Amino acid sequence: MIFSRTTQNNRNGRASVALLLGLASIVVVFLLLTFSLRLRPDARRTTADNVQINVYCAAGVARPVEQLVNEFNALMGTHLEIVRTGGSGELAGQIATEFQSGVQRGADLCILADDLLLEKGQNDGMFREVFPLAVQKPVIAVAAGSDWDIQSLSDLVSRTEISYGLTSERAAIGKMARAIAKRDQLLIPLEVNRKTDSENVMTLAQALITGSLDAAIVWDTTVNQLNQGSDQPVLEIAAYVDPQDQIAGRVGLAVLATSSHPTLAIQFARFMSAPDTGGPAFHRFGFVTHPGDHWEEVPEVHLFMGSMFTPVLEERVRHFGERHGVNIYSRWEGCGKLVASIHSINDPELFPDAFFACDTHFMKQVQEYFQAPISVSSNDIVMAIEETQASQIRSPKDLLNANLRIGLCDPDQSALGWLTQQLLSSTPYQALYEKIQEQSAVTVDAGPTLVSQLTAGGLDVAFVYRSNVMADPHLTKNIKIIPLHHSRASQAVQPWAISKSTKNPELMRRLFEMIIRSDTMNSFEKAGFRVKATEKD
Amino acid sequence: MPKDRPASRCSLGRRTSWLFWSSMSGLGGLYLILILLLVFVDFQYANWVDIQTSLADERVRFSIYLSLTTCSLAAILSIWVAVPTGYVLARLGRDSIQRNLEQRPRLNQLAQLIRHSVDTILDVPIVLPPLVVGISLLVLFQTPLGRALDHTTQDFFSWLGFPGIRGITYEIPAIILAQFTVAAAFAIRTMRNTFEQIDERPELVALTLGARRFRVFYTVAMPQAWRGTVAAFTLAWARSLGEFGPILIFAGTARMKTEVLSTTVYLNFQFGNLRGAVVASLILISVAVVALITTRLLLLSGYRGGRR
Amino acid sequence: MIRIRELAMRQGSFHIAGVNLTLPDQSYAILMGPTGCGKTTLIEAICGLRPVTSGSIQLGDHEVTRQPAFDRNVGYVPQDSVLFPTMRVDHQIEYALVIRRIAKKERRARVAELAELMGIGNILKRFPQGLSGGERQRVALARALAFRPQLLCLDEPLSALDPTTKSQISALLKRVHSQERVTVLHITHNPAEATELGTIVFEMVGQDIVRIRS
Repeated sequence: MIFSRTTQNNRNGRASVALLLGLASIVVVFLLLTFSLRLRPDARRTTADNVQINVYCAAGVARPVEQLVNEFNALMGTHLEIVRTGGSGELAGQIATEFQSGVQRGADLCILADDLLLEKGQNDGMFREVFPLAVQKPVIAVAAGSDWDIQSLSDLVSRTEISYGLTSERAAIGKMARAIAKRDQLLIPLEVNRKTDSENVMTLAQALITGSLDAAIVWDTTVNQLNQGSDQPVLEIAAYVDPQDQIAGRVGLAVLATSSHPTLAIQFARFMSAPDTGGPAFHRFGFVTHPGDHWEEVPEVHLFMGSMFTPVLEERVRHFGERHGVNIYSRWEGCGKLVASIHSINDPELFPDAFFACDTHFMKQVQEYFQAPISVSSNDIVMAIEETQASQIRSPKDLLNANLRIGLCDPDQSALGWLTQQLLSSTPYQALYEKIQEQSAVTVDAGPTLVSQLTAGGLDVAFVYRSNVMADPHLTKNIKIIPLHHSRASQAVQPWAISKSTKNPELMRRLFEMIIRSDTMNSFEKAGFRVKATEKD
Repeated sequence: MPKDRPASRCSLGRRTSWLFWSSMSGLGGLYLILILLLVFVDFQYANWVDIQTSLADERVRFSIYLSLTTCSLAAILSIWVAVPTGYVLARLGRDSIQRNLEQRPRLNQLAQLIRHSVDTILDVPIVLPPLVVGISLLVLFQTPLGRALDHTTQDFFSWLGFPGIRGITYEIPAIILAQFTVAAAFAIRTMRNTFEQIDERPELVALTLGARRFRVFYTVAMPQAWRGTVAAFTLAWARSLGEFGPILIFAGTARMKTEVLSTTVYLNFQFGNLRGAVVASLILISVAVVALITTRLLLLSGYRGGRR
Repeated sequence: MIRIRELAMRQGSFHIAGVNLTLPDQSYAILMGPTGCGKTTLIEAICGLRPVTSGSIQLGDHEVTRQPAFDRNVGYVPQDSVLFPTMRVDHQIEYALVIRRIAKKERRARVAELAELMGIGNILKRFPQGLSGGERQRVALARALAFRPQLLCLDEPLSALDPTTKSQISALLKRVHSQERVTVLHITHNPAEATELGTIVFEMVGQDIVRIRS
C-alpha cells in the first residue's frame, strides 16, 4: 500500500517509494554516523591534546591496573586507556600481529602475567623496556564454603571425584601450573583429569563461581580480586600449587618499541612500580610487588662518567633521559677529577646516582659510597703516533732516541695517566716512565685531549686508550696505533656502580641495562673496547 | 453403522494427527524451553535493581547507544549492497545466463563459472571464523591503500568537526566496518532469495511497456521485495548487534570509545564482574527482542495493508 | 505491415528456424499450434524479450530485430495476464504513459477511455490481488494498449477462463480491435478462437508457418 499511495504526488507522476527510501537512507546514514561519533566524549578533542596511550592488560591483573590507570589519568591529565584485556598469550599474539603488520594505533604498553612472554617480546624487538611489577602465586581455589579438602597438587590430580579446570597454555597461569606439574611429574595426570581448558584465568574463575567446576588452578590474586568484587567471599584458596615457591607468575609491564608516546608509557610504568603510588593498588588485590623507585613525575639523576665513554655513551644517555622523561645531569670528565668531586660533594642532591669509571683503580677510591661495581669493559693502552713518524718507533723504548713531542696523561687526574705510569714503570720498561715524562711535551688530564692534539699536529706520539683513537676514525686516519705487548697494557677495566644513597636505583638499573644492551656493547667494541662479562665483581 | 464410519475415521484421523503434530513439535519445544531457560537463569543472577544501576551508568548507556547506531549503520550499508547484488544474482542466475548465451556455449560456460565463483566468494564472510575477519581487516588497513583510506577518513572526520576520531582502525568506524563485513553477506543471501522468489515476468512486461531496466527495478521489482528487504535488514542488524570477534581485534575494547554491548559483556567478564556481564547480556537480549518484535509488527502491518 | 523473415531461435535443446510471417496492418492474426511448438517463444522474440539467432523482424518501416524491448512499441499480454502485484490498477494502465512523460490530463483521459472500453471502471482503485481472471485479463489488455502500440501480442488470452468470461473477453477483443485499430497477433491452440476472431489465420506445422485462411 505504502508504495503506491505516495506515488501520485511526484513530479513525473511516479517516482517510486523504493527510490525515496534509498535516498532517505543516505541521509539517515549520515545522521547516524554523526550521532555515533558524537557519542565519543573525546571526539571533538583536537589532535594536539589527543595523546592517547593504549594499554593491553592481562585479565588476571586488570583490577589493580584499571585503578592505577584512573589514578594516573587524574594525576597527569593523560588519556591512558585499557583497550584490550585477555589472557597474556592472547594479548601477546595480538601485539605480535600488530607489530608484524605495522598497525599504527595498536598497543603502547602491555601488562602481561608471564615473564617468559615479556622476555621473548623483548628479544624479538617488540618490547623496548620491561618493568617488573609484581609476583603472584598459582593456587588451587574452590568455591567459598565448599567441603573439598584439597591439600596439594597431587591430591587434586589423583582424586577423580574432583572436577577441576585450568587454563590453556596461552594464559600465564596455565603455563605456570603445567611447569610445576612437570617438575613434580604430575603433568600427565593433570592433563588427563582436567575437565576444562579455559582461555584465561577470569573465565576459569567464573566457571568456579557458577559451580561448573569444583576446583581450579588460578592465581592467589584472582581469588582476592573476585572476593573484593562481591559482597561476600566467593572463592577460597585450598592449597598452593607450589609450596616451595619456586615457580611463580611474574607480572611485568612492557613498553612497545612501536609506542607513539614511549615517554608517557614509561612514566606510567614508573608510576605503577613505585611503592608509594602503584604499591597500594597491587597490595589491595594480594599481589607481592617488585619494589621500584619512589614516584616522581620527573626524576632527577646525576651521572659521573669517565671521559673515555663520551663518544659511545653521551648521545645514548641523552636519548635515554628523553625517552624515560628523566632529567639526567651527567659529567664526562677524567676519572681523577670525578673521584675528587665525589669526595668533596656535600650536597646529597648533587651526589652521583651512578659512576661509570675508566678503571677500577678509581672506583676503589670511592667504593664506600657505591654498591658492588660491575665490570663492563676493558681497554688497552696504546701508543698513538702520527703516521709519518710511525716507521721508526716499535716500542716505548724507541721514544727515548727519537726527537718526538710526547703527550701523557696526568696520573693523579686520570686512570689513563695512572695506568700509563704503572705500565712504563714495570718490567721490561723499568724506569722508562720518568725518562719519557722528562721528555714529554704536555701532560693533560684526559685521553681525548691528547688525541685532539695529535690530530691537530701539536704532538707526534701519545699514550692513550685504544678507544680514544677509535672514537672518531675519520679524524684520526693519520694516526697509527702501536699496541704495547704487555700484560699491564690491557688492565684498564671499566666498572659501573650505583650509589648507595640514590633514590632511583631502579632507574639506574635501567640505564645500566641500556649500557649493556647488545647494540650499545657493539658500539663499545667498535670503539676499541673489549666487552667483559657483566657479572658482579 | 454406516453413520458411525465417518465418525470413527475422523477420530482416527484426529488421533494420528495429534500424534503427528506433537511428535513433530517435540524437539522444537525442547529448544524453546532451552532458550527460555537461558534467559531465565540470567535473571537469576541479576535483579531489577542491578539493571537500573547499570542503565544509570554512563558507560553502559554509551555502549547501548553505540551498539544501536553502529548496528543500524551496518545494516543500512548492508542493504545498500545487498539489494542490487541480490537482484543481480537472482536475475543473472543459471537459467538466465543459459537463455541469453545459448548461442555461445564457451561464453556460457565461462559466465556460469564466474557466477559460481562470485556466489562462493560472497559466502566467505559467513563461513569465516570471526577472529579471522578481525585479523584480516586489521592487516588490510595496514597496507598502503588501507592507510590512505585511514588518513582520508581521519581528515573527513576532522572536517566534520570530530578531530578526536582518528580514522578507522581501533575507532568507531572499525566497529561499523567489522559488523558490515559479516552482516552484508547474510543480507545478500536474503535479498537473493527474495528476488529469486519474485516472478520475473512482470518485469518483462514492464520492459515491453517501455520502461528501462532501472525503472523496472524500482517500480516493479523493489516494491515486491520490501518484506524481504526488511527481513534482510533485521538479519543484518541482529548479526551486527551480536558481533564480537572482529570488533575485539579490529576495534579494540576501549571503554567509552569502542565499547558496544557485546564488548561490555566481555569486559565485565574479564574484570571478574559476572553480575555486570549478566546485566549487559540482559540488556543485549532485550534490545534484540524489541528489534525483532518491531520488525514482525512492521511486516504484519504490511500484510494487513493488502500486500501479497 | 509486420514482417518476420527467416527467424531462427534456440531455447535449450529446442530450435525454431526459418519462421516467416507477414501481417497486414490492422489485421487480427491468429497463430495456431499445439502446446510447446514455440508459439510463446516466437511472441517473446517479437516483443524483444528473447534474442534471436538470425533472421529479421520488421514493424512497419522499422527493422527491430536487435532493438531492446523498451524501444519496440509492442503491446504484450502474456498468458495469465501477469499484472504488477504491488501497483493499483489505474497506475498499471497509465504505467507506459508515465514513462513516455505524457501530461497528467491526457493520461487520465486515456485511462478513462480504456476503462470504459474494458468495462473496468469500478476496479481502477484496486490492487491485482482478488481480481477475477476476466478482470485481470481486461486490466492487462488496457495496460498493453495504453500507449497505442503498433502491434498487440496476445499469448493464449482466453485459455484460462471459464466459458462465460471467455465469450465476454472474446467479444471485447473484437471491440478492441475495431476501436483501437491495432494489429493483433493472437496465439492459441484452440481452433474455435481462430474462426471467431481471426481475419487471418496461421498454423504452425512443424517448423513452418502455414497460412490457412485470410
